[in-house]
Amino acid sequence: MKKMSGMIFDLKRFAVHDGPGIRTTVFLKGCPLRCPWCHNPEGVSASPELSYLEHRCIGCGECVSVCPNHAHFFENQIHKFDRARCTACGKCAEACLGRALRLYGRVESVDALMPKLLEDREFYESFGGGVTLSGGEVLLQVGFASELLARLRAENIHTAVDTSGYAPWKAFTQILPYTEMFLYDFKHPDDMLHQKVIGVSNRRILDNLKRLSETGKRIEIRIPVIPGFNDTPDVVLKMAKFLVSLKNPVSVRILPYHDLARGKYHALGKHDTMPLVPPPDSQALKRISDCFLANGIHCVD
Amino acid sequence: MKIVSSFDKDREYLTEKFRNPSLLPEDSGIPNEDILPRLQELAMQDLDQSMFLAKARLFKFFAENMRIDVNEHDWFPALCCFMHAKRPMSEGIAPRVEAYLKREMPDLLERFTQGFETGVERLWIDYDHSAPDWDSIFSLGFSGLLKRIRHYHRLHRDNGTLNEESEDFFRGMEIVYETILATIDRTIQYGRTHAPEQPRVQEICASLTRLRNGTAENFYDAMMQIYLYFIFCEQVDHIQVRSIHVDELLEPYFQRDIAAGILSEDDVRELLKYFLMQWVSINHAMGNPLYFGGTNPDGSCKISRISYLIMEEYAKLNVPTPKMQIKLDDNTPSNFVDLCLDAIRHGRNSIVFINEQAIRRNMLELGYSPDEARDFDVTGCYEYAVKNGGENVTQSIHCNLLKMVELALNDGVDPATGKVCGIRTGTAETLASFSDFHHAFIKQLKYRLEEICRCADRFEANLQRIYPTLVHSGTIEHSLQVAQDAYSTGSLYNTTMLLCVGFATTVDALMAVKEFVYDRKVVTLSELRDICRTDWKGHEKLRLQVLKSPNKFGNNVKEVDFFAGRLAGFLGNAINLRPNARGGFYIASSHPAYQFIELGTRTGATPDGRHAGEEMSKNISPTIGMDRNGVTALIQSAISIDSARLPGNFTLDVMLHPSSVQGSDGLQAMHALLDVYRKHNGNALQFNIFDEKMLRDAQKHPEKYAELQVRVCGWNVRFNDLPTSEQNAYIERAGKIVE
Repeated sequence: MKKMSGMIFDLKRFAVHDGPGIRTTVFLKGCPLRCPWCHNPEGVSASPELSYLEHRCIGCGECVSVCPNHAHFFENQIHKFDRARCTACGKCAEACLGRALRLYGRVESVDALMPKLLEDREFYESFGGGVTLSGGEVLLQVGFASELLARLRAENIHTAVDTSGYAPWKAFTQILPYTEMFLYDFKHPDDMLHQKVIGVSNRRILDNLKRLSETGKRIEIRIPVIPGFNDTPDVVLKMAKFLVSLKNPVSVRILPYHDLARGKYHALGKHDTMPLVPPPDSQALKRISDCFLANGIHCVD
Repeated sequence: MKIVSSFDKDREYLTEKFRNPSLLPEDSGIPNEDILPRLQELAMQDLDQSMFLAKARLFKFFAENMRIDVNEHDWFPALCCFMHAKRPMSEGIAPRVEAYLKREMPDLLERFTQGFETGVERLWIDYDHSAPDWDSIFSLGFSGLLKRIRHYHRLHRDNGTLNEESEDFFRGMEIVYETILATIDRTIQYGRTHAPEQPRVQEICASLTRLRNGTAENFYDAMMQIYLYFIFCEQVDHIQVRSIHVDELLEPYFQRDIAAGILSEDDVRELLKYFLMQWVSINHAMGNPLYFGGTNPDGSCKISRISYLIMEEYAKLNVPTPKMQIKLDDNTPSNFVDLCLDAIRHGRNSIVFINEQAIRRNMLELGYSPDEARDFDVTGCYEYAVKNGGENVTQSIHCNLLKMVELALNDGVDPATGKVCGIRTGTAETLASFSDFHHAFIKQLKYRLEEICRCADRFEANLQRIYPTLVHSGTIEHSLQVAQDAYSTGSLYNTTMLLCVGFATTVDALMAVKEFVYDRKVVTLSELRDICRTDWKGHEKLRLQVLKSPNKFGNNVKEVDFFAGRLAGFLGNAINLRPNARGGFYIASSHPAYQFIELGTRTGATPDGRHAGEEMSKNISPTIGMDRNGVTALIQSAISIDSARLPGNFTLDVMLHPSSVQGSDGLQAMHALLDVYRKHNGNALQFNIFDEKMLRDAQKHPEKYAELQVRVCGWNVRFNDLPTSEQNAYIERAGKIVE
């Protein structure tokens, strides 16, 4: 088998909401969607990016001394960062003593990742835990993902893939043999609105979901509930109807919108696209889960 | 039995019962504030009299004169209603104890303060960890216990095996138990004359009468028996009854009353609330423990229906005490564990899991029998002892492990006081390799352990002359057979626990010396010594580099965990099974009680990046915020150590963010963490579910968070009751939880 590497931006041990049991989640970098509410903006670009949390800077100056491009400097004894000069080499993040700088995006080989993923093997064994690949969009790096999943399955580790579904079906076929569960995002049933808000059509996403359902694989549908976008009764009902039409039953996990990731946009120097709406209240969430329930769809908490 | 639901109405009284003496009727005795001076006056009379008789005499005065009450707001009488910290018997006799120590062991008193001043050790006389023989209490009752004491007294007299001291021991117990019976009589009399028309008061009096003359006949009596024993022992012996196997004790009575239709489950729930509230009102700073479960001889679990009812009612009460200890094994019903985990994630942090498999293994290795190892009592915070009073375990001595690093750096001198409190192991300039430094550390530690044990042996040999335990000993047949106080030498096993304080911080400090002095040569050892002496002044960058290093215990870093294992191994070899002065032995423990803070304030800056005076790590847990690889890595580090090296206690504090324990996934995750820790013989595990934002808000708006609890070290407190400095430590800790 070819030795594959991929671009990842995080590895989270003790991930408890990314599939069953205790899991380690590998976050793959790069995503074709542009969801305004995205809470992993560091996963959107396929290239490495530097995050700078200004409030954590203690002015130690370590970054200034290691940066080859003079992206860090002091002005009136205050640390400044010129993102235009930054090549995201990551030297400053390594040196930073205040944990203000962090590099998102590093190339990791499957060989290097495997021992890290196996460290928590014993924790996976209780309650069907394992490893989840998430992102970004996992299927943008399908070669890397499929090799990693295959290696995990060879170790008898439970595997899950968290996907937007926006990928050629062929990409799915590559990972299908090694993926035991899919966490599949469903954001809006209306194609026009989907295109307008997220930037891509939902046809491929829904078609892939139908085909995936036909394979009999375990699927958990993840619905980010964004007030004003997909929380109205008619939209929820349309989603439920679509899910009921699938060949095999799915469960639904409702992910209420929150804006806790807003700081990440600023730290990455990105335009903050997060909606200025409050999180949905418990009544709204109950109404949504009741609608799914009324259509025979189980909502996991 | 008619139980009218009235708890909500009575809750305020129940909370105040032990805290507010003005609730006690004036005609029932002398005011609380007059009791203490009278006791102190009495205590200093007849100084030639033995402590056995002096204590008995004091208790008689106390019991005959204290105010009492039986009223319709409670199902239990008001007896010995004093603030826990101001127990008059303990304070009353204190001058006599001090006079005894001054007369007999003057150097010891000095040692108690000196070792604490330099922070190398903390020594005290521990009377806080008794586990009585509940079987005897329940099968004999107070009157039966008195009969048995008299029987053995006679037997020894007839056999000629009494000396002056043991004669006083028996006489003291007899006076105390006679006084207990007389106090119950007085209480019954008070209830009958003051509230003859009150049905609940008459039920209380009827139960007291049954227990005065015999043993518990029903579920309510059984609760009353536990309560009365606790209250009397707490006052007379100063001993907190640190072991109550609550579900096992109540279960047969519960079954019988339900089957006979005497009580419904709702009635039981109502009574349980009143029962639990007694400890809420007593409000002991370190909590009073109740424990659950265990393994029957046939291998089945002791968790029963009553276990569920108690836990459910406890969760509803939302109180920091009593603290609940759950014995856990393969046989523990999953849904009971889930019930406890669910309570924990909803803020009932005062629940700890005790691993039966690990403790069985420890006990077998230390030479206990398989039966003793199967069915042990849980005591104190998460310690254990041979069931039914088979063992007393004192926790008198604490050794500050981190201080040994400081002494190794400073050639045996405490830099803050200039006192030589270690041995000369060479100046920093002469320690050329990490091996030299580590050797110096071990030599300091070895010397200190010898010193501490020698000192402990001196006062432990005289425990019964200093502070005998007359109520407790009266329950232990072995103590009566050998005519020795049960908390001294009269138990089958008389064990001394040596508490090793600051385990993980010590490992971190050693690793920092290795990495920054010897491996990377960033700084010399003498420079590091001087930097620590000045509390890192002018070297903040270096301090941050040290803090940033991943070489900290709790991150599953192999080399660090190796050194942690080596330290545990050394402690185990040096301490476990070392003979003590009471015919028993020592065992090592990583439990620091409150000393991770107290001794921390007396320890200078240390190589791990810690500032002078900051607290140290507790139990087998990492230094605050140094476990940066998540909870699974933390557990891997802990279980890489053989827990049998620290058999007294090997508890891990696991801090989780509320978001990671939400929903059914969250519950499963907590369960899985527990499973792995348990399979690898971790002794005990306690969860703290923290949210930094919530703690900050609670500090700002305490009125919104009246019931918010945090786990200190084997006990819970309300967040609002903590001083700001400790609140800040919790906020800092919460901020470092890896979500």
